[in-house]
Amino acid sequence: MKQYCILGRGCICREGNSPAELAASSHTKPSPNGTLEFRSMIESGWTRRLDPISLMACAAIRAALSEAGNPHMKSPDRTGIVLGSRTAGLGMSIDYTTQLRELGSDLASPMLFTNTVLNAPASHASILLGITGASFSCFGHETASSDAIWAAMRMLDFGRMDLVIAGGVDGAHLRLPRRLSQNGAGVVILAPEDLCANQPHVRGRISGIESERSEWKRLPETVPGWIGRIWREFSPHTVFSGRVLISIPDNGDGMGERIRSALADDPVMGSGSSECRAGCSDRGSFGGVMDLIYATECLRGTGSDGAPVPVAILTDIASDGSCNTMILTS
Amino acid sequence: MKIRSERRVVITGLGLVSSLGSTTETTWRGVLNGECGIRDVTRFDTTAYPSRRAAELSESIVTDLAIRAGQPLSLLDLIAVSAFREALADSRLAIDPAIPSGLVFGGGSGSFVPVESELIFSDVISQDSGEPHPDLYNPASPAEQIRSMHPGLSRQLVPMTACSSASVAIGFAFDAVRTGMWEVAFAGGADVISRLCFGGFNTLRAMDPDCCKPFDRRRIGMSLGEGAGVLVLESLEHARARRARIHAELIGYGLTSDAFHMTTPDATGRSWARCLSTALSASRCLPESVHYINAHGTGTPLNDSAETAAVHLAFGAHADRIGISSTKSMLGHCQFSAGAVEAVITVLAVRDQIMPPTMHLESPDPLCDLDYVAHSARPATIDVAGSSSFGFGGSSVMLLFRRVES
Repeated sequence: MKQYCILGRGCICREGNSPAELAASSHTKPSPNGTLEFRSMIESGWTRRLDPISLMACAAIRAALSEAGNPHMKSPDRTGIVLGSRTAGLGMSIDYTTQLRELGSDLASPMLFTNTVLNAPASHASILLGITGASFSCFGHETASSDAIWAAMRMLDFGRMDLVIAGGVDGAHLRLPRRLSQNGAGVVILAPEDLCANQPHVRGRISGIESERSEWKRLPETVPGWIGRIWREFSPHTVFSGRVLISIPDNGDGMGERIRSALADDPVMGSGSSECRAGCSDRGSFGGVMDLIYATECLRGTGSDGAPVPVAILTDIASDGSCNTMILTS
Repeated sequence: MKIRSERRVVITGLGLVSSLGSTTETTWRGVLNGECGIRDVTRFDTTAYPSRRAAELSESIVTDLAIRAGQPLSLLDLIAVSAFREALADSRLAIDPAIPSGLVFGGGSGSFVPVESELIFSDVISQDSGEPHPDLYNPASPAEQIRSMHPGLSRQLVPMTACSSASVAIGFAFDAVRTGMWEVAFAGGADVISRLCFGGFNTLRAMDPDCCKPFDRRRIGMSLGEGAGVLVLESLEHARARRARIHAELIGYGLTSDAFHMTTPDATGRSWARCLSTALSASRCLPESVHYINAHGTGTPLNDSAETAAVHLAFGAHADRIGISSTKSMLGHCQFSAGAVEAVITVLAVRDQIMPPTMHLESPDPLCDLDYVAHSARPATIDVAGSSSFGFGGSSVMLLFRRVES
């Protein structure tokens, strides 16, 4: 199974603005008092120019690149950005069209309009950091960030990039539904294993990523099967020993716990421990990448329970029953 | 660029909806005849805007599509599903769950229409009447509609890079087939005119009150358009095995970030030239093989001169021998779906060996000094043709299609 190295991580969320702070906090209940103090991570000239979501994304990307030793500077044209989002540009679109209605097109803000596109965060980051490789954004529901990681890995496979910044970003707006109003950004820096020889900054290795889909009510049957299959492909004939992290929307039906129980009864997966983060409402569409960043800390023994975890399986589920599953090792 | 697999990728199905017609062939006939789909917008009140025109789908086209769809769909989903169905029928392909296949469908700004209609411009629903539904804004809706009708498609991706979204989608699908990840891919995009974009480009003073005039000295802005385009991509082996009719071969593409400015292009043309050169090198295509380019050609003063400069830089002395046209002069700028609409037009140009014209080009601009195939279509030998798309934020794409001998 092909491996992709994580060379750097960056996150901006209520639990904190670094992977260590994310891991140290209670990962199931984000602190309501958490602050999103990240403006100091970006030059003041840019903080005035960027919309809030782009600002979060740029701060997370800059932190991840810094942790990785700024590898993009060697070949900016072979570095790309793939960001998933559900709401990037949406708040700006609401603000702009409100101005359009109230003031007319002559007086509405051109700056607002320019930031109405979903790819504004990735575009601002590429301008800020001089990244000129293949970049795009993708829309997704609860799994947007793991969709972006899937697409980023494919772009590495295709040979379009040597290094890719992948993850997700979302932003709150007063006129959006509460389910969509989450602030945060998370990214990882990925590179193929064969290009990472002598790379001192590897924070974890992702082995494959599989996408599946099933009816919501059948998830307790199907998810253990998907996870078991990806594990058997990774390590045939071995009983899983590690941690499964499941990110699932909270539809109020206890689905997360039912999947967790089904996993505990599974003959292959049952001996591992599992954590189920039921409630993507706390995570916007970037739950998948936040779990990945948290899991890299678990590998080092700095997760919530302090015990090193040899391997983690991450499963990111959307409310339409689609699901991305990946394996993380040190 | 490192090529990790050498499977050839061919186009075996096309679907197109535009202001000139509800099918590929009606649109193509209109384009070759130089018909202009740009007219007064009727879908919402435009009296407050300096520019009131766009290449809007007529009532008759929408009604025709709705009857054929046989089910209630939003306009955005309707045109996406219609173009997909046409492309699938054209390819004579049956989607088989046993054959890996995927859907890459660029998201559109038209997905904001329900939000602006229900949340911003509606006088019926007050702002405090309750929380809007989370799915009011769903750029994945066209892809989800298509996939719900064809569950055999193994996966979907909804890239969004503004006006180059659909081209990114086609590029990703090309790579997926080229490397063997999928045997068959469906790629494209759909978009409809929203107040958001209509107002926005008026705010930016980037709209021509009349019809856009790409590459003309008098050009002052674009004309928005709407439409959908879908291409069926498959490996040459797969297409040959089922004796499929092949329209053209997609030989490669370039995807780069300008890293320059959110909306203003690099006037020197260097950023876009890098994209064109990347497309040539990734496709292992000599500049001299390219005979036609369907330009981004928006009709804004900066775009057209920068694009001309980029073609000069990327193609050198051969630039003067390339036929270049902007079909936006007839179809308008179809926004997030422009890349797909124009890719279909480019494939047809290669298939039929004819260059579509650039309309409304009366007074050539010294800064736009290439052959823009003005006024009427031109039969020509076209071995390789390119389709360029440059998006807000600086994602630039060029797709390269090659003629396939029967």
